[in-house]
Amino acid sequence: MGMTITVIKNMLKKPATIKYPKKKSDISKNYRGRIVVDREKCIGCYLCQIHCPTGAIVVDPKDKKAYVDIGRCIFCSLCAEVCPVKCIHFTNEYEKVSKDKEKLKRQ
Amino acid sequence: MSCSEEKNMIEFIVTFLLVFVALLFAGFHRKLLARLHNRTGPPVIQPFYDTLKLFSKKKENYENPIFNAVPYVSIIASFAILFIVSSALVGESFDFDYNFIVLGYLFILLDTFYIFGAVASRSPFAIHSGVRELLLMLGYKTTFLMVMSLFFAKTGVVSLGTYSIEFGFLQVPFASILLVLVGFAVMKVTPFDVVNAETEISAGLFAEYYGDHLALLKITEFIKDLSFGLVAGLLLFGKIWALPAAFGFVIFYTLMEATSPRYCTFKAVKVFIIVAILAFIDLFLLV
Amino acid sequence: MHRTMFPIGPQHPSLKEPIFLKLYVEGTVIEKAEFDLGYAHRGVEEKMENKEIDTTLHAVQRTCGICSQCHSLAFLNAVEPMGQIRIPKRVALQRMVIAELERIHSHMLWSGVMMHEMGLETLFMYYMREREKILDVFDELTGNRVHHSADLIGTMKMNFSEEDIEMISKTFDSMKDKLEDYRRSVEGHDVIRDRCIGKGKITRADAVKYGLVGPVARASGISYDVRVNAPYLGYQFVKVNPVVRTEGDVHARTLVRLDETFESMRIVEEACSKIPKSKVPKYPVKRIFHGQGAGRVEAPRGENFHFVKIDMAKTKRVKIRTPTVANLVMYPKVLQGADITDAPVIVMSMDPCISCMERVAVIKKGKTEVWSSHELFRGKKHD
Repeated sequence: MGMTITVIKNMLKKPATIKYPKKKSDISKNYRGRIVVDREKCIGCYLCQIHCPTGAIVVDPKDKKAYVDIGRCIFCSLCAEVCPVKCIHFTNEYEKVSKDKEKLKRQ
Repeated sequence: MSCSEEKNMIEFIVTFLLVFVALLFAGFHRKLLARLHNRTGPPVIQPFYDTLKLFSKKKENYENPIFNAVPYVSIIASFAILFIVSSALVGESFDFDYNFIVLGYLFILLDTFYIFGAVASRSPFAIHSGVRELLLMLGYKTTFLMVMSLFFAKTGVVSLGTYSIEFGFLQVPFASILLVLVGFAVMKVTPFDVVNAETEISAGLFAEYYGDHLALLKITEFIKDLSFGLVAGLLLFGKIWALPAAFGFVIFYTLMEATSPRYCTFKAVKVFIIVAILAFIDLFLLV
Repeated sequence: MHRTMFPIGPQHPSLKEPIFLKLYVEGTVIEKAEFDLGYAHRGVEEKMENKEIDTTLHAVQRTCGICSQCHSLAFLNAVEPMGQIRIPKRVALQRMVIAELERIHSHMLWSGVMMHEMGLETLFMYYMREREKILDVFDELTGNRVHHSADLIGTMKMNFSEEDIEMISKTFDSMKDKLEDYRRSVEGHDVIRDRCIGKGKITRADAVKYGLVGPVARASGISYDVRVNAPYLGYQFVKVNPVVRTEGDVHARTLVRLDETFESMRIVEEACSKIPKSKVPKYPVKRIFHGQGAGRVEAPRGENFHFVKIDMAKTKRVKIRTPTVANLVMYPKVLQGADITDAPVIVMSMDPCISCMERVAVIKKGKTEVWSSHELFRGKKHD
């Protein structure tokens, strides 16, 4: 019987569903979304490439700057920690999906 | 156009309208359950989308003729049920004497067809589900027949249509309670939905069906649910209140579904055997 | 009667992860049960060979999607003593808060799935709704909802601020009443009691013999909890009261987990109040060059064990033993004699986490093979 009361109480409440594509959900300030490399500051020290668990971040030997393959990134923020000039940071953007795999590479 | 032909036309139209009502009925059930879960849930017309999607799927040839025939036979049986119900509501062409017995048998027949299809499909889940359905039928189908006869034996009427004209509100209270209990098994509501227990035997009786065959079976299920609700509403509250009563039943059953987990198979069978015994005692007292 | 094989898995609505349970049934009673693994082998350990220690730390968390912090803690427990790194109190308590929050959300997930197995979708939805709040807390605290990636060797990536701690207590306040209400429903509901009491019984003797761990063992009357028996991290500052029941059936396992949720909430609140004002140390605390060691922690499902060998500042070998390995061996015994109706409930009551535990996959058609430890080491079979 206690269950019935709980259920009816919940029916009268506003639904907990987040209607995602119509209404964007709130994301905290700390959320690790898109990874951004500030290539002005990047010195091409290869530390991020060595430490990356999945090999998502690679330093291009031509211009000595780091590029990220978002399709491989696991958002662990280790590259941001090891970077000596702190040129890697995360934004709040969480819609990173693309139908084209090539678009995700080199960001 | 003579008067009877006109009436026949109305019956035909009502029957086909009731098919749409059946789908809406299922949508209403889903929406209500979602609201009880504190979700938004699918739109009420979601069953239409689902069936259309199923019809549009690729067709393949099946080997077993019984397996292939079951969806078509069962949809015919379900339409027969719907004709009887709608003629009891608006007309009289199918309102022959003792049609309630035919109705009861048609309900039994539908589930028997499902079991045939399930066994023919050779899936262990479907066969197991068929065994459960057979066990459960022992209890609730016999009760269903007995309860139907109780209604008519106590009032002395011989057909659904005349019953609904002559009698109204809760004529036979004890049999009404039994009918509501039987509804748990017919509508497959959680404490007694052992036949299509998703987490135990996946899709149950329809485990191997897909595409248009599954769509036909789904429509059959929807029609069966609606016609049971209409029959119960008719017997309990009279002709005018049949459709609102059917929606009332769906609200009641959904509330039960939301608050109770599933019984073990044998427990459910035991409950229905007790119900059957009660119905039998009531029938015996009448004689 | 004819004996048939009733398959549960690799894909089945009651299973969330791939495991193939072969139930040999006569009628509806299970005569014999077997299970087959190897559907989700991912080669996690191989991926961690010859990697930087920090890299391995972040990769090792990806072993499990639900208890990722426990894997990182077990790894750190193994690695940090090698370099004589003593973690400050703030780091210890912060790590503990995350681990305990993880236990709460893992147990809530399990409770929901358990109710789904029994056919009570309503409580599944309610538990998942409440669990979402914990994930939001993770989002705020660490930046990631599932794989937190909050730890580094000897330190952490973030300092919990006053607002963070306030948010945790606010979330708990909004959850507690509801969780207590649900617990009452689960404990007192007639049909749930009918489905759970006396089903899947594991006696104390069996639990000792098969070496069960975690809530499954605690429901059978064994008071074994790594947090109590070998305190690590901040568990020396905060006392843990292990939840022990003696019935050993599905109902006891359910209640142990539900009670542990409340216990973890108390631990989190106490730990939050004890976090000191000092900041966490700056990132490269100390480099570790050589050594090997083992670490163990109490994951939501039981004892989680890691063996780590480090050579030339790189991890040479990481051996992971998840709690499910210990609990899975009980399936054939506990399923024997049960009804098919109860099979999903019993399977789920052990809280299996299949893809975390799959370590070796020997794929060969039709034959079962036994590999000796030497052959496993060499990586190929003697002819």
